[in-house]
Parts: sequence; C-alpha cells; structure tokens
Amino acid sequence: MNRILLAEDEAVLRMLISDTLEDEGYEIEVACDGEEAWGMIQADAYDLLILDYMMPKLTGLELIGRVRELDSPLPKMLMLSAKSQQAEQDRVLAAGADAFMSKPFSPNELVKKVKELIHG
Amino acid sequence: MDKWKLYARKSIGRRLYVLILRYFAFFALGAAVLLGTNYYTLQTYQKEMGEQQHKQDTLESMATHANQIIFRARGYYSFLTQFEYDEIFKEKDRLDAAIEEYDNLNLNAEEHELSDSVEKFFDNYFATIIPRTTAFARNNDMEGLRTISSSGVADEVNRLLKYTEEYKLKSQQALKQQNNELIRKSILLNVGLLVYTAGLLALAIWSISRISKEIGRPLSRLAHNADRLAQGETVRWDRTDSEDEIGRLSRSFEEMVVQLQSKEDMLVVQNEELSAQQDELQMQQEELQGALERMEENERYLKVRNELIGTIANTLDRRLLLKRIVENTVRLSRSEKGMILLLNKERDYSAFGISDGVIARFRSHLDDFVLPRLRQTKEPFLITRKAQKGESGLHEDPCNVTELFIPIVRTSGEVAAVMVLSRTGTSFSGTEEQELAGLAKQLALSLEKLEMHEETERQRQLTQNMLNTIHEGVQLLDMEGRILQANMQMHELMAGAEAAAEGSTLDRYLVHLEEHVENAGNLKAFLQNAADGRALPASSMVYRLTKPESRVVQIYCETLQLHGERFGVLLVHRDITHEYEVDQMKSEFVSTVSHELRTPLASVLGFAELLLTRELKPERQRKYLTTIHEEAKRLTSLINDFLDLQRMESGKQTYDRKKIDLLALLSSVVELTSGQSSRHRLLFETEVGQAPVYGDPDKLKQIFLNLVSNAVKYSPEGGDIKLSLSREGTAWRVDVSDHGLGIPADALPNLFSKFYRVDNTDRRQIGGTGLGLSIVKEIVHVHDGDIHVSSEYGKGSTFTVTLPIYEEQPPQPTDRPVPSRRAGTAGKVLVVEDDRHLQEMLMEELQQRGFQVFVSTGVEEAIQQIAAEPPDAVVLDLMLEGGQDGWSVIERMKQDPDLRSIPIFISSAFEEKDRAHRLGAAGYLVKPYAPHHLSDTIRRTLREALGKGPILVPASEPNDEK
Repeated sequence: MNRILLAEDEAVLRMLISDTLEDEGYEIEVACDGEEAWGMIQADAYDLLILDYMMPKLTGLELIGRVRELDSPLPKMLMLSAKSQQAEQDRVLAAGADAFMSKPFSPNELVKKVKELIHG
Repeated sequence: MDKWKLYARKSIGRRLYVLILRYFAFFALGAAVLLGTNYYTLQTYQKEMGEQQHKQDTLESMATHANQIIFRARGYYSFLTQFEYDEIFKEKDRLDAAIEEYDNLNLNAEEHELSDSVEKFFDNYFATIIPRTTAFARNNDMEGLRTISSSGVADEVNRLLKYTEEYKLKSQQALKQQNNELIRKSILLNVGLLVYTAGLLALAIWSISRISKEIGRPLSRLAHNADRLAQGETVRWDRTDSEDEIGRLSRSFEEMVVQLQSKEDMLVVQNEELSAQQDELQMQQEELQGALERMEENERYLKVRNELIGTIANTLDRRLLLKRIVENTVRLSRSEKGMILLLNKERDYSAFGISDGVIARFRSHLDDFVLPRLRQTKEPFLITRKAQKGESGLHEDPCNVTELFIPIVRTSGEVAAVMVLSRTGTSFSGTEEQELAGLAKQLALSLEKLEMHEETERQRQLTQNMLNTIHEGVQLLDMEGRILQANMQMHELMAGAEAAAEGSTLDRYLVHLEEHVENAGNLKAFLQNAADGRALPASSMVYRLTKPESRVVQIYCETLQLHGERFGVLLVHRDITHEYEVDQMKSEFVSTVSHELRTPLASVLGFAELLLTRELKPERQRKYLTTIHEEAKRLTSLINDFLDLQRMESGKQTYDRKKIDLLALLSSVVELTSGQSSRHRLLFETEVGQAPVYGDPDKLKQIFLNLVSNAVKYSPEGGDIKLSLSREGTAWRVDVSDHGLGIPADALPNLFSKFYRVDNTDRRQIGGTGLGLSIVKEIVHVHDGDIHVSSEYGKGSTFTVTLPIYEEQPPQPTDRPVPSRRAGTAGKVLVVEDDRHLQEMLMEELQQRGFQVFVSTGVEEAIQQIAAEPPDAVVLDLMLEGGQDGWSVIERMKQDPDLRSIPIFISSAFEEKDRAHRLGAAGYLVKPYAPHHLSDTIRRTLREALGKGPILVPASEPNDEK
C-alpha cells in the first residue's frame, strides 16, 4: 500500500484529490497547511507528497527545500499551483519537485501522474 | 758666495738656519780633530810595541839556532853520528832564515853590525872550522879539537847570547818609556776636550744674542711705530736696509704711511668739490620735484579713469553701472554735479548732486533741445549760464556755471545715453572735452555689453522657466562633462543634491549616484556612454533612486547638435514611480485574481470530471453536485465583488446619492440578517432619533450587511453581535462588534487590502473572496467617511464606520450644474467617432454638462462640418470609419488659420500622446476613460482660453465649480 501525503489549504480541493486517489486504492493523509505537513513528513515516511504551492505558514516551495535536506529516503514530490506560467513550473522543478500540475487540473490526469511517480 | 749670503739675508728663517749650521759645523770639526788625534796616538804605540816584540823574538831565535849549531857540532864530535851531522846543517839553514828575517826589520847600526858579525862568523865557521873539526873528530884527534875550540870559536856565540840578553832588557825599558808617553798624551787630549766644550758654549751664547739683535729689536720697533701710527701720531721713520721680512714689512709700512698721508690730502680736496656738486644737485632735485608732482596729478587722473572703466566693465547691474559711471565721471572731470540718462523706454538715469525736481524737469524737457542737437551732431557741447543762488555756494560775487552735454553713441551710430556734467566757476577746456568724449566711447561699449548681458540673461531665464515647467528633470551636459543646466524638477528629484545641479560635473554626479541609486553601475555606464557620445544600446533606461526616498526614474538622452557638431547631451529624468507602482500593482493584482479564480474553478472542473467519467454512488454524486454548485456560486460572487471594486476604483461606479436616514437603514439591515444564524443574537442600540446622511442607500446598506455577515462568519461559536449608532462631532458613528476569533495584531494594517485574508487555521473553513472589506472601504471613502477596526485576538473585533452628518442647506440654484438637455449653454462640441455606442455615451455626457453636441463618423464629413460651423472644441477618435486616419483631421485643421485655434481632444485606445502634442492637440484621453473626464477636460480648456482666443462662451454658462 502506497502512502501519500496531501498538503492543501482549500478544503474542497482536499476532498476532490483524496476522493479521487482513494478510489484508486491509495492511502491518503491530509495536512491543512505547510507547517502541519512538515510535522507529518518528519514523523512518518511517505511515497509521494502532493503539495499546494500557496499555503499558509509554509509554502510548497519551502517544504520541498526542507524535505530535500532530510536524511531519510527522498519521497516523490508533486506540486500543485494556481500559477500556470512556465517560469513558475521551471522554478518548482528546479527546486526539486518531480512533477508540476497547474490548477485547475483534471483528476484523471492527476491519477495518471501519481501512478507514474509511484510505479515509475 | 755673495749670492748665497744675499739669499740667506732675505729671510729670518734662512738666517736662523745659517746660524745653526755654522754652530754644528764648528762642533763637528772639533770632534773630528779630537777623535783623529786619539786614534793616531794609539796606533803608533801599538805598532812600535809590535816591532819591538818581533825584533826581540827574531833575535832570540837567532841565539837559539846559533847555540844549537855549536851544540850539534859538539854532539857529532862526541858520537860521530850522521844524524848529528845533518842536524848541524839543518840548524844552519834555520839560522840563516832567522838572520834574513832579522835583517828585513827596521835595524839600527849596532844591530846591523851584530847581524853581519854573526853571519860572518858562521860562514867562516862552516867554511873553515867545521871541515877541520869534523876531520879531527873522525880522526879522533881530540887535541886538534881542543885547540880549535879554545881558539875562541864559542866566543862569538856567547857574544850573541849576551847581546840577546841585553837587547831584551833594553826593549823592556823602551816599553815602559813608551807607556809613560801614552799616558801623558791622554791627559793632554782631555784638557783639549774641555777647552773645546767651553768654546762651543760661548759660540751658542753669541748666536742667541745675534738672533735677538737682528730679529727681535727691529720687530719691536716696528710694532711700536705701528701703534703710534694707529693712534694717529706722526711717525719719524728710521730706514732699514735689512733684506728680510722685517725689513720689507718695515719698508712697506713706511710706504703705506706716506701714501696714507698723501691720500688724505687728496680727500680733503675732493670733499670740497663734492659739496659744491651737492649744492647743484639740490637745485636740480627741486626742479624734478615739481615735475613729479605734475606727473602724479596726471597719474591720479588716469587711475580714476581706469578705475571707472574697470568697474563699469565688470558691472552687469544696470542701476549700479549708471551710478558708478556718474560718480566716477564727476570725480574725474572735477565737476560739481552730473547725471547720466539712458535713452531706453524707461529712460533710466543716475544722478550725482542733483535734486529730484531738477532731474524730473530735465527728463521731461530733454526732447526739446538737448536730444535733437546731440542726435544731429553726436558731439559734446557746452552751455554757460549765470549761477543761480544755490549754485555759487559761499561765493558772493556773481559767477558762471558751465554745463557739458556729452552724447554716448553706440557703435551703430545711435545715441544711447546722455551725460551732463556741471561746473561752477571754471569752464571745461578743449582737452577736457576731448578726454570726456573719449571716455564716452568706453561708456558706450559698457552700455552695449550690459544690454547684451541683459538680453542673454532674459533668454536664459526664459529657457530656465520653460525647463522648470516641464514635469521631467532635465540636465544639460557639455562635451567636457560639465552640467550646464538643471531644472527645478531635477533638483527636486535629487533632493537638492549639488552634485546633480548646475556647475557640477558628470564625475561628481556619478559619485553621488553611487550611493543614491540601486545598481548604480548600469546607470553610470549609460551616462558615461551618453556623455562620450558613444552608441547607446538603448536611448533610455529605468533606474531606481534609493535616497532620500525610493523613486523609479526613466532616463533618456538626446544628443544636441549645433551646425552639425555635437555640443552637449540632454538628459531627461522622468519620475515614473507612480506608473511603475500602478504597473506593479496591476500585475500583482492579475496574478492574485488568477489564483483566486483558479481554486474554485479547479473544484468545479474536477468534480464535474469525476461525475462524468466515473461510476459514483448517488450520495457521492449529490455531494459533488452540491460542491460544484457552492464553488460556482463562490466564483460568481468573486467575479461580482471584483467587478464592483474595479468599477469603484476606476471611478465608473455611479452613486445615486440622496438624503437618507441612517437609523432606518441600519434597522433594515438588522431585519435582513437576524434569523440567518441560530447561534448568534443580533443587538441594535441607539439613542439617536434620526440620523440624516447624504448617500447611495443601496451602497450604504452593502457596507453594513457585509460587516454584519463578517461578524457572523468570524464568530463560529456564536454569541452576541452588537450594532450601535451614535453621534460623534459632525459625524455618525456605527460600531459593529462581535465576540469571535478576533484579528492578530500583525494582520490589522492589511485588513482592508484586496484579497487579503488572515492566514490562520481557525479561519480555514471560513470562505470568502477577500474583497469584501476593500469594497466596504471604497464605499465609505466615497461617502466622505472613514472606517477602522479594533480587535483583541481571540476575544472579538469591532469595526467602526463614521459618516458625515447631512445638514440641510438653503437652495442655491446657481451653485450646482443644471443637468439639462438644452443645447448650447457651455459651448459647441463636435464628436468625431465611428463607434455608435461610444458616440451616444459621449453625447449624453456632454449634453448633460451643457454642451451643444454634433457628431460625425468620417474625416471628410468632420472637416465639412467644422468649416461650415466652427465648433468650440473637437473630440477626435484616431481610427475612423473605414480605417480613415484621424490624424489627418488635426493636420488639416492646423493648416487652416481660421480653424487652427480650435482645441482638439483626442479620444483613442492608442497611446500616442507625443505625436498628438506635437501636432497641437489640446488633450488626450486613452480609452477606456470615464466620460466625465472628457467633459471636465473640455470645460477646463475652454475656461482657460476665455478672453485669449476667438472662443465664445455664452455668458449664461452656469458656474459648476463646487
């Protein structure tokens, strides 16, 4: 069973993403802001992190930075952002994210991407 | 020899040498004689001793050998051995040798005789006796032998022996005698030595006395004489023939004394001559003194004149120049009074010693006589008249006053000024007149210089004024990098920094920028390139000033050329801080809006996709549809809020303002909201009976509905929500307070900013657009009110709105514009616009503001209309019907002298303000714009043009200034 952490401050989107992925058989844990997510990442090991870019307290980008400094094996990271510019995407990928999706996104596309990331 | 003597006598030193040499010679001679004598005596003694000894030895040897012969002979007689026989002969040889040696010695007669007798005896002995005796012996004839022996053979030998003994005694005696002789000679020699030493001493004493006599005495005499001469006594001189230094010194001293005496006599004579010459010189000096005084007088005059010319040449102030000219000229010409008067429009003057009354009279009558004459002749002239009472001063006798009128003529020949000089008593001589005329030429040059300077200054001022009216900061640099000019805006932009101002240099300016500009390097490179005239990558750039306040400035440069040659660079600094900030805000805003829209869109699209692509249970389907519905509603209200705010901010929001009662309005808000939430209790408190305000009731209601719903939203646990109305000074105060979450202190300053939402876990579930409070603030401000918030985090918040109390004013019919569709009250306006919709909108706006409006849609139509009935203003779109170019309308209007002055206002979606201003457009509005901007602009322009141009504005135009 693959474990996924979803960090997203919008409740509706949390519901959308977790419902979608749970249907596919993944185990999803959720965090409502950056700091909460950081606490969970430190406490537990995840196969994939789905991070929102714009979150209170800690942004997705800052989270990526912190995760990369951890000693434990690096989880895959997928960044969701309301900013769609190419520059934004480049910056996120350069910071160490494995994939980038801009909002609004297709839940089916998301599933595809998650599968790619987890199963190679 | 005489030569040497002479040589020795010429020097004291040499004389001393001679004396000492003599002494040593005498000493050496004596010593040699004594030594020689001594030596000789001893030698003689030794020689004599030796000879005596030798003689004695030889003699003894002779005696011995003689004795041996006899002895050997007797031996042979006895023993008859051959050996004895041979020995006899051997002894004979030895004897002979001894005799010979003896004979060679220095012998006296007796000794010679002895030697001869011995020799004779033995010759005889061997010749006669030996053969006989030997024969006797061999024959053993003893008798024979005895006979022979007794015949005295041995006598001779005995005599020899005896003599030898005697001689020995004799020589011992002689030795003794010689010793005595030697001792006697020694004593004699010692006595000689004593005498000789005494002689030496005597010689030394004599030498010293000689030195003292020959050197000391003349020296002391000379010194004595010198002393006397020094004391001024007459010296009788003893001549000396001495050849040495003292002699020479003494002689030259003597000659000196003689010369001194003769020179003194000469001096006395010369002195007398000199005093005679001095008298003569005294006389000449007195003559020169007179000449010098005259020269100094002249010099003083020249000095004053030069001073005058110098000061006026450096004076560029008109009043000061005139004052200096008149004062100095009066002093120079020794006049009592004087005046100079310029023949310019103002007839500026300066006077010295003349009363105002006289000046006024002179000025008013100038054209009667003085000026025409001066203009005609361009030469000075004199007027002589009787002195008036006041002019003659303390003099009682009648005297004359001379007035000299001097024209100051320009190089062009025109009379520029008149100078009058007045003298009482003495007149002006011809020379003086000429001198003053010469001076007048100098003055004319100074006046021309002054005028040129004034003209340049005026031009400069004009340019500076023009520069100062520009909104951009302007700097003019010359090719050497000096800042020739900088306008007021430049000073303001640089906060008065001297490095950027006139008189500074580019280098100093660059150093200044180092500290005041962010990334100064780029700007410095730009400026350096601009100043060096190198090709610029771009003729403009943007930089950011950091001190004294942050400003964003766009700079562009233009190279200035004169006769095809570069002479400077014009730098224009445009403060685009506002544009920049607006731009920043715009893009930030767009990005935020995009983010805010994307989140609900993601939900809507996401759930819709799930519904479309997956098989879902009915509950989930319903849940998703509800969510889509909620999110779509959120999206809608977001868009509505956003548009509202946009409309308000751009001034497009229209407010239907009227007198309303705030109390009634609040009551309706309470009615509307109470009952929406079961957990909250809404309280409304007031002690006011009626609260009149002037405003748009719908918008005001929106304020309070928003505040109350926020209070409900942010107090999820429920509780009282209190609404209260009270009077505070000239305003109504409404407080909306809750007991909810409260607002963290650091969030308070941004609370009214667009899209600002407090990031806090407690609020995560609370939806909202983040625009509500911004809208509230906008509405409050439009109503001249204010809003602020106080909050304690965790305890609740209170929002306070104040609105001005409306006071009924007596009706002032002329004070407000009368909205009227009546045509032609404020002026005629032609609107050239092809978009029907815009046409109508503008028409309505302008008509409402009292303008008479015509419309046209194409170029030709517009031109015809303008020509047929010239309007007061034209509103022109640049893109007209069928792609026609609006610029041609301007161009054609500007070519027509009748239409040229009609102001044109461009209404376009393009930003081409520069071109429009070049062509002479009066205003430029970029679409979209609020229609009232257009009417305001036209109104302002027409009012400014009132009285200046041909624009006729009806007198009945209502004054619409508030």
